[in-house]
Amino acid sequence: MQYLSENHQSTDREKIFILLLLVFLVVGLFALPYFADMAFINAMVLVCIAALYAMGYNLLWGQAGLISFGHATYFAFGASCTIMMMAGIEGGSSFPTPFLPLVGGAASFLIGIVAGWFATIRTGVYFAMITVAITELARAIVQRWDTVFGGEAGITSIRTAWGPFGFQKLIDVYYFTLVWTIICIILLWFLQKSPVGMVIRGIREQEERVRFLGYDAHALKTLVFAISAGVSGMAGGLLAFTNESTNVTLYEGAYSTTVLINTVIGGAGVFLGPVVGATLTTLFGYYIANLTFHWLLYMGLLFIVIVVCAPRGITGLGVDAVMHIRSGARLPWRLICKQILGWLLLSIGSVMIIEMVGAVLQPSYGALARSSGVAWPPVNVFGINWSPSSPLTLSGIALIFVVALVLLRDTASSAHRNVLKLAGAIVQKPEAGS
Amino acid sequence: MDQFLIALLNGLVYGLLVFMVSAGLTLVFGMMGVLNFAHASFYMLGAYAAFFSGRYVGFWGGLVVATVTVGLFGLFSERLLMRKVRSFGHTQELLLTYGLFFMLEEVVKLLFGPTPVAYNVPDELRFTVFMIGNSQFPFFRLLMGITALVMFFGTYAALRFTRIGLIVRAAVERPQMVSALGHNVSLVFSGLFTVGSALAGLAGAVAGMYYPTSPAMAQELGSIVFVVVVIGGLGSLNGALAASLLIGVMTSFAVGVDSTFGDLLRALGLDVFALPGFEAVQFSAIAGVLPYALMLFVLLWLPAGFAGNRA
Amino acid sequence: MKKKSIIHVAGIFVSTMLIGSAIAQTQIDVILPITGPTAGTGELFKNGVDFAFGEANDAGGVHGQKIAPRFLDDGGTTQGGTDRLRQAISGGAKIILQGGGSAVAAAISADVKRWNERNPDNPVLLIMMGAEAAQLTKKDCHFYAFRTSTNADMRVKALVKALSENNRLGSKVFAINQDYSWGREMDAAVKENAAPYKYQVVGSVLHDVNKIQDFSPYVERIRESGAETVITGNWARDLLLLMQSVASANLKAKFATVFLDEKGNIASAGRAAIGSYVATPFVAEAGGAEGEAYLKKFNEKTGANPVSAGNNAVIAIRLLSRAIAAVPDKDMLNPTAVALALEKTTAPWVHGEVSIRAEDHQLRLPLVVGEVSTEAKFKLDGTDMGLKPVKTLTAAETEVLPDGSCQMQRPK
Repeated sequence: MQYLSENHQSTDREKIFILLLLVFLVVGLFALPYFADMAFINAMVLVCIAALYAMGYNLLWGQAGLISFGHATYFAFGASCTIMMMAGIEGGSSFPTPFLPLVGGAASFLIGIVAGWFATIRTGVYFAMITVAITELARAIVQRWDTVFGGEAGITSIRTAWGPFGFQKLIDVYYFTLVWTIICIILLWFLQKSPVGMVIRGIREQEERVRFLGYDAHALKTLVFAISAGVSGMAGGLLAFTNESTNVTLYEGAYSTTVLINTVIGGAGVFLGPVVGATLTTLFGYYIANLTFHWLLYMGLLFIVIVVCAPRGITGLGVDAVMHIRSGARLPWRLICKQILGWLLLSIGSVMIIEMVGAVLQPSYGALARSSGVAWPPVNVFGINWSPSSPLTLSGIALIFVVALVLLRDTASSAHRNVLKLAGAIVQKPEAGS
Repeated sequence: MDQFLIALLNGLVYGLLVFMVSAGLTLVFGMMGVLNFAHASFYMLGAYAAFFSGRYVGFWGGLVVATVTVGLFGLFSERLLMRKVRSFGHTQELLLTYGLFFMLEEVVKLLFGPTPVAYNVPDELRFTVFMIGNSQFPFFRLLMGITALVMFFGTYAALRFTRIGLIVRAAVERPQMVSALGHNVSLVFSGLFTVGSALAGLAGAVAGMYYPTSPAMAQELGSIVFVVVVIGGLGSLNGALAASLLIGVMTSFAVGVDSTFGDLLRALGLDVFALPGFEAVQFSAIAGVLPYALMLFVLLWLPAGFAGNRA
Repeated sequence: MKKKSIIHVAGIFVSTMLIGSAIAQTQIDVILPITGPTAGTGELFKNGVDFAFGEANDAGGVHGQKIAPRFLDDGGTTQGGTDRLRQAISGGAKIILQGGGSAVAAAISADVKRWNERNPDNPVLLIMMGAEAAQLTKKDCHFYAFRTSTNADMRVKALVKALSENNRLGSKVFAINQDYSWGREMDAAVKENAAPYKYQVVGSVLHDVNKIQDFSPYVERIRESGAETVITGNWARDLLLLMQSVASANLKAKFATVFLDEKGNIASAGRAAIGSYVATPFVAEAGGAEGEAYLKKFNEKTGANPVSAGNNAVIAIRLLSRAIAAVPDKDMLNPTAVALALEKTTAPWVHGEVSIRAEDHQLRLPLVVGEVSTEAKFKLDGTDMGLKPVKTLTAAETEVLPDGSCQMQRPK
């Protein structure tokens, strides 16, 4: 996998542009509570937590080239330890509330050292499977050990005020989470830029050479694993802080897979890629889940589309565009518009089919058909009632698909070729107007 | 003695079921270096395909349809999807199979609902084949075992004694060399993937009758199958069989044991380690965890598994 | 794809605003697991809710207004439950219904309690339609939480009472349950009822939840113990596999269960289910003409059978709509007023009147113990088997009195 963000130095103009963009974003995030409702603020808290979790996870993937399939353990352990400390504070301890995420982070860092030492003995698929084995073992132990971890009823506590901070309102929690997330991301940035980061990337590319240079590759990989676990643990701690409760379901596979999906969709090669992925999937799950009951299927399809057509994620596409502009060519706007329209139509068509099939196969649909006497009662998609048997509906959907496929026909293979070109697999040939 | 025999037989049958599913997975991994997360989903698809078609073509017809359908589906996903991402590396293929696994469960929920479906052993096959003490051993369990054994011997014989088996085995070891000798290696890959998927589909069709057929089938069996494949050695059919039987029997016996960790520690004289909450935990309760512990052990110290040929 | 994501995000914002502006006065939020691992249970609740709201509206609604449910999907997770609760509250909801498992219910109940403590002039009322964990109406009770389902104690009492009075219980009972709060409560309840109902608990097992592939070793243990009845609170896969193992091992013990009638279980268990018992809120054949009419109307409206949890939803909404009707117009959605009314309301139910206890907000509900049989009048799950009633127990007979561990803070 090509890691474009490191191999191509940004020009000064680009650096300023990106910096301004980030500043604008941060200011917007701080100003958010003034024009958003409680549901959205709650969603953004979750977005920050998912983003931090994904950034910690990507330290292992993007920097060290190790894909973990069992990161939920460190996330959940951070949450558990934090909630225990919160209960301790509630019981009279004088530990300052604002430092709670550090508890989760430190705890997960420690178990990350142990787990990482074992896991980094191997690489590749074997590494992935070791992480799976560790996470399954941890889950089984934790689910049994009720006295400490609370079982599926979990542990509950409350946020205790500290100094001038009340922490009782959602807005307080939002700022708390935002500040910690930004601090951690900045620290991760400096880690990436530091000599340690460079050696880690060296290990990713050519481990043997790095070892010949005198570095202890195993120790370094363990360190990276531990830091990654620690950051994930901090994210878990923030989750415990906002929910004021944890339970053992946090240790289950679903929390390992969501962070993987976030990173893939966002792009592991760009520093802030996972943040983009985390934001998208969290908001998607939060809001789309209210509109349709098949949102998991849509997310799965989106994931597959990204894996097949945009293997370096959404930010990867952005970087491709930047590369294109840098090489002097202009962005092919006509092609991009065709792509947007084609994919939009394809999405609409797929959504219509899936929603209609889902509605028709429900038992209540059959009941409605029987009681109303109409053979095919209408199904509501996008706010309009469509009758599944009417030729208008069927031909409309078919038309949408045909148009979409015509628009995408020539773009699919060219997209593929472009990526391969950039990956160095195909020698660049001058092309007319691509 | 009866208890022991029953536990042993039950463990063997369960192990053979796991083998049916893991056989295809281990061959595909050994050959292509791709760990197909969606393999357990093919198992689930087989069960649903047999359920759906069984209503029209009868029980045996349902088995055939399931095998063929899932095999074709495997071929389709290999040719259309996995080929596209192969140029981007093994990681992308892994992620794609993961996405497929995720998505297939949702598709099944969309089409058949989230609750288990009525896919049962047909009445004419519900009879006892022999008795052990007071216990009856149903014919259907025997059928599952026989199917698995036939699968094993058939695949083994095909790989060992036929020309195409020779090519497949060679392609697993040295794909480029075999290609240089003029064989169409990509066709061999596709064929192997198809056969592996078809085997998983057959396993699903047979097992789905005995075990509940629901969208959660894939997840339930999926992790055990990976454990088996790792322990047995990626790429080795014999290893997969041995590991499946081992896991099946181990789980079966561990569940039957009544003592707790506390008992064990006390027996060894290590009373001091008997922490409250931990010492009351029974062995049977961790029956599900033993396979993972073994998997961890193997991965760390015997990465080629017991019989594998890849480090 | 970058463009597609922008469009997705734009779509999300637009739809958020649309949703925000579309909340009507008489909308009641219902949090259910519509997707996720417990989606099957969510479907049962949804059918019950749809039916009950339709029934209430057909009778004219409340205070002349129609009431409508807004479904929020919690995905079967506690995080999802917390998220949807916050979404509901920020959308202005005052009365919230929740269906699903105990863990999610407990999390939502704790969240509601904290919200009410932090916002005493803006409380929120929660009705848990299906959670069976005992603590919800014991240690964790609070004024604005109501539970319209039974718990382990009630179910076990109903089972052993009905079976022993019909001489089907025997004197040796084996308890096999899942190793988490629900299973442990079932286990304790079986042991507690041994003396009054004169049976001996010859063995008890707590096993991993949804992890066991093969119950044969447990079946052998049951056989060795010589048990005549096996009482289990298992659900879904654990129940199905257990019953399959027992049937194929030709064990003669009878099953007394709690969740056997949930959709898909009887179909999946097949012949292994015959002769098993279940204690459930509704059995059509036991309800006479009224039962048959209810079954028919439910089928017409939802295309499904009213089994298990679906009935809890119907009961909850019948009680709720009567409580709302009992308060003055202006207090229609006032949580405190409605809560006080709920404590005094009764609602009609096929097997006898239902009401809620004021001390701990636990439902008083009649239960029917039925036997799975091919001779039943009404078949389930599209099979040729249904539930034949053994005994109907009144609300007074199933009631398990509060033990005083619930200390509720009542509003002034």
